[in-house]
Amino acid sequence: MMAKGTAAPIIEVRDMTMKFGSLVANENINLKIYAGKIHAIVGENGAGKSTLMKVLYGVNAPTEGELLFDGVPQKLTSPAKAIAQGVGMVFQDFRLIPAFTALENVLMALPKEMGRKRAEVRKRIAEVSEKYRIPVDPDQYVWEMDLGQRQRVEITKVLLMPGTRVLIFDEPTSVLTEHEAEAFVNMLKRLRDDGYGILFITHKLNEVMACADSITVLRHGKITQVKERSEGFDKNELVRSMMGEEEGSRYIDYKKWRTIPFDSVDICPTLRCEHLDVVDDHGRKIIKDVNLALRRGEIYGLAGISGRGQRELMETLFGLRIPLGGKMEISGNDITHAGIDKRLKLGMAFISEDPLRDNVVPGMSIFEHMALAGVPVKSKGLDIDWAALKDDLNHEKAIQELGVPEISRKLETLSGGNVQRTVLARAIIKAPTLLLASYPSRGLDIGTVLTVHHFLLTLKQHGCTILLISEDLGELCDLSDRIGVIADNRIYGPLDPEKASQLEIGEMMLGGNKHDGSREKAAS
Amino acid sequence: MINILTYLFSGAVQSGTSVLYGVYGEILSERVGVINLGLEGSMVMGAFGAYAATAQTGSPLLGVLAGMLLGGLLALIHAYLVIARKANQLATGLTLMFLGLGITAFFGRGYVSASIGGGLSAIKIPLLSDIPVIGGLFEQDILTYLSYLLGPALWFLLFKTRFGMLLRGTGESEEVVYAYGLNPKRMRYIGVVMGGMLAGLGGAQLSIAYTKTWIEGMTNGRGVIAVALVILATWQPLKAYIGAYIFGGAQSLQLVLQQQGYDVSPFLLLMLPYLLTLIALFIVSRRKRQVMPAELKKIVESSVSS
Repeated sequence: MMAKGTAAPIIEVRDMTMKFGSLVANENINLKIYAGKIHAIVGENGAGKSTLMKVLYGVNAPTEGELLFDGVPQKLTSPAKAIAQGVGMVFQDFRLIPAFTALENVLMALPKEMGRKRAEVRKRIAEVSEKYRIPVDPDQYVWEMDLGQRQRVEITKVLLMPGTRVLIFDEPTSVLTEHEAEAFVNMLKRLRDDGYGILFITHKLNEVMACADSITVLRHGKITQVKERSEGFDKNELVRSMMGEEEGSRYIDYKKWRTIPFDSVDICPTLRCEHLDVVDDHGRKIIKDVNLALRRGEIYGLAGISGRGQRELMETLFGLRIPLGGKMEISGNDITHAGIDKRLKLGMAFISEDPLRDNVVPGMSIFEHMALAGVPVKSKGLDIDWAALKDDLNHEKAIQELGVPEISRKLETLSGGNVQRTVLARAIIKAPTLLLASYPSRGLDIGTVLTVHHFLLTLKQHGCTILLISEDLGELCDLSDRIGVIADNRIYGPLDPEKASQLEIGEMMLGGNKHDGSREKAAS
Repeated sequence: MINILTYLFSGAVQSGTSVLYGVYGEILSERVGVINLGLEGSMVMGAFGAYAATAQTGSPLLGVLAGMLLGGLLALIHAYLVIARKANQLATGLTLMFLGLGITAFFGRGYVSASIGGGLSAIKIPLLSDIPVIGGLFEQDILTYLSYLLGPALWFLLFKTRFGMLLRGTGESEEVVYAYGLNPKRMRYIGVVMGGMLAGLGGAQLSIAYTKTWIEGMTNGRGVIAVALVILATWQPLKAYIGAYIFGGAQSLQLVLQQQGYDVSPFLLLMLPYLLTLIALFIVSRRKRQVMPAELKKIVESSVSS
């Protein structure tokens, strides 16, 4: 491999500016990536991280400035050119084919000559996974893998491409559990020690501070801070340069909102499930014997590795999926066999994990969605008084504070984060009695996440019960009054977020533990 | 009784071979992410091309080549419209099916009474053809033997070679294949055209080996059935036999029943192959896992929303 910490950077970005029409996505960026160094880029959504990454990978050619590889200016006109320069990219949405095995995915990515040598590539996969402790089963199908496993296949693939010397990771830990993230950081260190140059793009400061040699902070497309490890990293300072002085000092005192004692019992819980068997798309029981009693005005957090039945559980509760057995009740009304209309009438609201797929009509505008969802409207003749509705909506607190875009825009023109804002605002305006919220802060920047948290807590204060699914254990522990853990096709718990450590919850998520005795019994 | 069984088996193969080629062809096409409803068109073009060329030249070999060529040509039109012009696949396929039927009906008028002599005659394989009951399977024409071998061959191509992996990859995710600097469009052309050529071969088997006649519209829905049977085969060449021979078996059962003088309405009997195919499809439709190439789902979704 390469000599460790050579003087000249492998990649140098010089005075790079990237414009899309009148939008300036990156302005005057200077960056150096060295062999044997971890360079982290942090910033909120829309700070220009992805644009920078795409420039480095040859997807977009910069408007101004230049890229130097080993000190020589290069024009990257396609990803193939970047690969030829030794740039390997680990995408956030992995470039893998689910119907293929890990081996087949790796083979396809490799150049022709190497891609024909099955036995040899299989051996190389074993070598790489041994060396960097990235366990990959070459014969497992990608569709059978969870996100962490998929990421390992993606990394193996990039490492096996001949000539890879720089690895770019785009938000790599967002799909990982606490445990996996820790292992991931260790793997990064091993790769660094082997002489790879690493560019690590993220918004999670803890991980960055644990492993980066230098940190570059982006805000509104510009570099606001560059720090070397030798100068010492100060988290608060980094947060402020990510979010700006004012936003960076915002803060929620979560403890103050936790008003329901952990052990109190609600005689008429908002949501009660008894012996509910949730089935997946293939008719298998993915979560067995769910017994939950969600008290009025509590946030019940569900932790678990993604893909362990979270989606199926939410869909079952909302009536999109028929359970194999068991009973569901809302405030004492049996809804086991009720249609979605009845559930809505009883005050249920649902934020899907993929709102673009499940929650919106792409061709309709934001205000039409609000009317469609039953936000109160006035009529004007036979028609809806759209002007009055728009006016009302524009004065709506949730819409203003969540930063929902201009309300006549169609959903298909919105980014993922903005769809999320819209769906959230809609749920909040309807003031539900039971909110099923999957990953409500996914894809939002830190500032908006705080706003979302504030709204969820306000809803709860008004007596709304929230079933919260999140992949961010910190968020779950902050918001929840009680936490359940999905593992081994069951729901364990509840745990008290004030007492249980994230490490403990993380261990339960991995399953195979003996917490069976503490499995929740329906409050009676 | 033995006689009837013998007859039933060899009849199933004879009648099912053209469908089998169709299933192979459609598997290739769908594996690269293109539904070709025009398969019937390719098949009837193949049947006509093979018959006409054989009648003109007296060489069944040239006939087979002509059948493949015409079948592939029609599929090429489909590929061009769908891949380069982004036309709706379902509409294009249906149109090409009727175009194929129309062209062959028009140019085929003069060949209805033309003679092709022996056509592709049966070749008896020593020893194997002496086995009781199934011996008939080894007293067939060369195209039928080829179809026996094509299942494993296509399986090897699709699952064991890099080329096959790229074909399948294209059908699963165009973007991923493209991201590796490969050309998914080229893969699609190859898959669709090869599929059409196979359907053409099936047509050739029908006209110059099995029936040794040419009648307009003689494929009689075999190409359409083949498209449906791909689902039964779960896009696996090794399972293509199942559906094709169920169809062929029903076809020959109907003939047996007629010969035995059972008093069943001929219309009911003619329905039998299609009914059995439908039942077979019904039985397998409940699957544990979706095995359909992922790009095909996009077609279904986009044609619903557009």
